[in-house]
Amino acid sequence: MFFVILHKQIYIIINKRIGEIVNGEVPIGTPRKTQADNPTFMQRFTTSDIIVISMFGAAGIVAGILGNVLHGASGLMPFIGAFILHTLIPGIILFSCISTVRKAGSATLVSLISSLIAMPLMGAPLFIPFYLVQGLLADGMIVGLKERMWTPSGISLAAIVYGTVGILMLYYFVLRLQGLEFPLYVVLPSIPLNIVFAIPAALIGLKLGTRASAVLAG
Amino acid sequence: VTVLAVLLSVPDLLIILLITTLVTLVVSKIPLRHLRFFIGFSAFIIIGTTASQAMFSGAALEPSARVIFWVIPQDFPFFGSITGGVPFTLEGAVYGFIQGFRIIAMLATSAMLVATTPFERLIAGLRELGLPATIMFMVTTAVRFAPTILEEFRMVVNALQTRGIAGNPIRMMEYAMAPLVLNSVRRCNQLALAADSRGFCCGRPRTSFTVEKMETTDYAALISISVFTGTLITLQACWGWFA
Repeated sequence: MFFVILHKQIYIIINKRIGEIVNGEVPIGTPRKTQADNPTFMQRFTTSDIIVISMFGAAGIVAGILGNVLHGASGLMPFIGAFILHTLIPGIILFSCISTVRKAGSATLVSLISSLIAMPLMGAPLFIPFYLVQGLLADGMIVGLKERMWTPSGISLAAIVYGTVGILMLYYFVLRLQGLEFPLYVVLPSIPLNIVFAIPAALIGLKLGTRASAVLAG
Repeated sequence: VTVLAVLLSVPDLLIILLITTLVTLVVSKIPLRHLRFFIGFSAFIIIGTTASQAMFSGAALEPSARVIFWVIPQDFPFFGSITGGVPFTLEGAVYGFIQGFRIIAMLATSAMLVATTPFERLIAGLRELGLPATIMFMVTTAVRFAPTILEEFRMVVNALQTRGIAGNPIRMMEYAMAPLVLNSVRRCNQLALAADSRGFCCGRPRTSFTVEKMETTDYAALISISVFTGTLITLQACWGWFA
């Protein structure tokens, strides 16, 4: 009887170890991990997330078209056009989207959708990398800051990065490739000014996104 | 056209590119109303690029550049010393005028695309290029959502106007954005339920009503455009043709 029990126990232990080592299985008795156990920002997109991102993408398309219709103004008035058309309005949409979904990848997706349709249609395909870089950075901030991202200080930090990179990409990538040149004394004051427009955009986005995520949760 | 517009730096080649795209735009028979809007918008861009580059471009800041007038004189308090004076130069204006051709060439191509290609064919074409099905679904949904969002926005603004709140743009933005986003998110929830009940994300390949296939003429057009683009770029890079 003793040997039978011992044999069974050894069999169970060896099987558990083999399962762990060879197959990478979870040992018996260990609670199984699900998607819900991952931190929110690392979870997969649900169908409603995908559709919500599409909806914000639609708002981004409208804002992108509006921005590009008035794009000539940003050439004539570099201090005003760029901040409102390429930072404030798209910023509200981007930060609302990520504050609603709260998952890494949502910013890149909404930027991709907005830029992929709106920018080529309005004759500014050079803005696609501009939006993509901003989206990737926002996603990087979600992963880096984790849950702290959804506080006013966290989202403001993300907005500072968003505003700085946005203006650098605008002057040194988009406008440079369009053949337009601006000296350093135009670029440098533009960075803090752009941040001044980016932070309210992020805070409004956080406020809207928090309410929208509550609606989404029912 | 975008690649050419970015890479070509010789004014003669930029003018040829602009004329080619404008001829294609006119041939595509877009409505006269749209053509008039395009001309007005292009004029706006030309004025913008000419004015900004007359002040800020490298050509404008050359010592040999001919100054028409000073926007900020060198002896102007504070700004004069920071900037070293901002002149409005002839060379800069010419440079900006020519650079405007790049933007208009890209705009003309996009206008032609919008005028001649329906959205569903454009999206079907993107799918043929190999974009993932989920991204394509999102793009399609976003395009479908755009008019709905505009309609929703109009309704919210009408509701605000009837309550006498409309007028201040900042207050309008605050009061209009929240109901717009919340109503749209509610609609998204219903759409997600409908999509789930129809087996969305079940892993099976998706089909489409509009099917786009590359045909012989498409390949011929693609090859000829690539050869033309490559030739122009090579000529400019290696031999300085048209320089």
